[in-house]
Amino acid sequence: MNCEAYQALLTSCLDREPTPEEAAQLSAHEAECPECRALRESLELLPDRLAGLREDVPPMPADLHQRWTLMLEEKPMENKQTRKPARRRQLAGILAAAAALVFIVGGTLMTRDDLPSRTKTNAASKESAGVTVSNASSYGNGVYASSARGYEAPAEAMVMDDYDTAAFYEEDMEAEEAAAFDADDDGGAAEERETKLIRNVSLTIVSRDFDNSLESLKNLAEGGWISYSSVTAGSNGLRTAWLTLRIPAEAVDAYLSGTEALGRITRMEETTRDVTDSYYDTASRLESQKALLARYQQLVAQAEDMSDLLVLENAMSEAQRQIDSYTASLRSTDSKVRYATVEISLREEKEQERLQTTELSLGERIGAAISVGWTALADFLEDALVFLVAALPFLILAGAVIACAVIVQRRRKARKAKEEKAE
Amino acid sequence: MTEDLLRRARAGDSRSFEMLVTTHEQTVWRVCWQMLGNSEDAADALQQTMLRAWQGIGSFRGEATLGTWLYRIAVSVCLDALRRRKARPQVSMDQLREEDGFDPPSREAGPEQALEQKEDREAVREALNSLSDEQRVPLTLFAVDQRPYEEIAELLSLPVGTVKSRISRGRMQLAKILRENGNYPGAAASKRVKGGPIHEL
Repeated sequence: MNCEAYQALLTSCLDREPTPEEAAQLSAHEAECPECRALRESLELLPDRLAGLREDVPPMPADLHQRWTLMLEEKPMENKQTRKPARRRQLAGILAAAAALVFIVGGTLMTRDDLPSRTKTNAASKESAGVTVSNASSYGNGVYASSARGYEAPAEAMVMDDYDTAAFYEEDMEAEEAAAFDADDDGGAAEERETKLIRNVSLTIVSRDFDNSLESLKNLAEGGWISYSSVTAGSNGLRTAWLTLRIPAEAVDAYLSGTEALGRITRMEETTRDVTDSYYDTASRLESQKALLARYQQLVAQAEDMSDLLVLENAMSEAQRQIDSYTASLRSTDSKVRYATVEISLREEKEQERLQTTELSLGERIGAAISVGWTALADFLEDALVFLVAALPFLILAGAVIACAVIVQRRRKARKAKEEKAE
Repeated sequence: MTEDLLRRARAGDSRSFEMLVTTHEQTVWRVCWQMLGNSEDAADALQQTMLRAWQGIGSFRGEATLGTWLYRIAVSVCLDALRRRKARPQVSMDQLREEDGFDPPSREAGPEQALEQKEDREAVREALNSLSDEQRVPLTLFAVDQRPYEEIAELLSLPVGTVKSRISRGRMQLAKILRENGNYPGAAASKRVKGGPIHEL
């Protein structure tokens, strides 16, 4: 029996009693091989030596008990956690899915108007419509916001109005002084005051007979004028007209009652601003500037040297500038007082749309809801598909970048492992 | 009283749980340290064991004693830790132990004998750590912690035969390493060849 066979036999006998035959074989080899005899001695001593390692364990860190008891309080037992890496992976999976969902839904919603849609609008029809309204559903209260481009001109005019008022109010203090000053010259001014009201009306009319209604709206504005007009077509083919009319103040009520016959009025807002005080303040300032100018003109006649003339010249041109500005302001206010501003959005409606206002049974409503929901989903999925195709180049790029990063990371790891091994 | 504590622990009272398991804390600490070989990893494993026990106290049926149950959890936590250690190769067990800086004082006998004992334990520990986890873990549980084969088989989810053969082969391997290093009880430590462990004869 050689050493190898001896060791194999001895190993197999470690967890059981050797048979008498095996025992004899083992001792026969031991008798002739001191190396194996020493190995056996070493093996026999081993259990005690290993058991001695029990003493070898260092004491538990002093704060460990506190550490784990605190941890229990932080983590209530309901929270049954599986192994950490698995949980993290699961979390990462959920996050990735959420990100993908946000990407697809968000991306589709944000780009669905820019990407090719099912209905194609050609350039010619776009021009004729003047402006395309981006979202057909934004009628009603949202009209001004969604049609900002189409409404630029009147919006600007309204801003101007506000400036004028602000200027009037800012100068209130000075105006009071001026008025007091004027009162000495011209005591009876206050009695001539006439109330100045600026009226603004804004309304939405829904009509089935769009063309005739639009024509009538324009024609009714007799004595006034149309300051802005545009017609836009929504993606559903229905048109909306935007009109800004200036109607003589005394004719506004008649005009408005005339519009009632043209369709349903779904919205009407009216504001009336009293500008009497600021109007007469401006008027009295104008008067005082005119008086000042007349006084300067007298002085010019009496002026003796050049420097006096120059000073007077400057003062006069400043007074003239003020007079011009006050005159313009009064004229503009006069116009606004005399002619009220009426903004109308005329919306076309289809025959069916009218019918929809008749009562529907619950079944019909549910049926309609299902079809609406289904169509919306189908539309969305279609848009999402288009979006994904559009996003494909970016996705491919991102995929390539990520793949590169992963490869680099792996290589680095492998190199590190190699280096460690080498060490 | 234990029943009462157990009921309250299951109801979510961490204080009761603490009172129940603290008596077994040292046992858990020992097995964690024996299996992982350094205080830092052992402390992590102990915390993890307590956490798992806490979260699983509802499933503790009282079939085994609480001590056995905790011991099982501890071994399973340590096996996970060893698997992770294998997955990302780090420093070896010996290095970890050296960093640990532990120098256990001996409670018995005179200083000379104490030194000899200490030297011997270190030699055995070093040899043990040079074994593969596959052999080292069952051997540690068997010979250091004195657990029966059947329990080790259950703890490691292995057939008893496999456990037995791994332990036997581990013992043989260990004896060879110790012989080769010229180290046996009573031999002067200076005889030991310093350097990497020798795996083959």
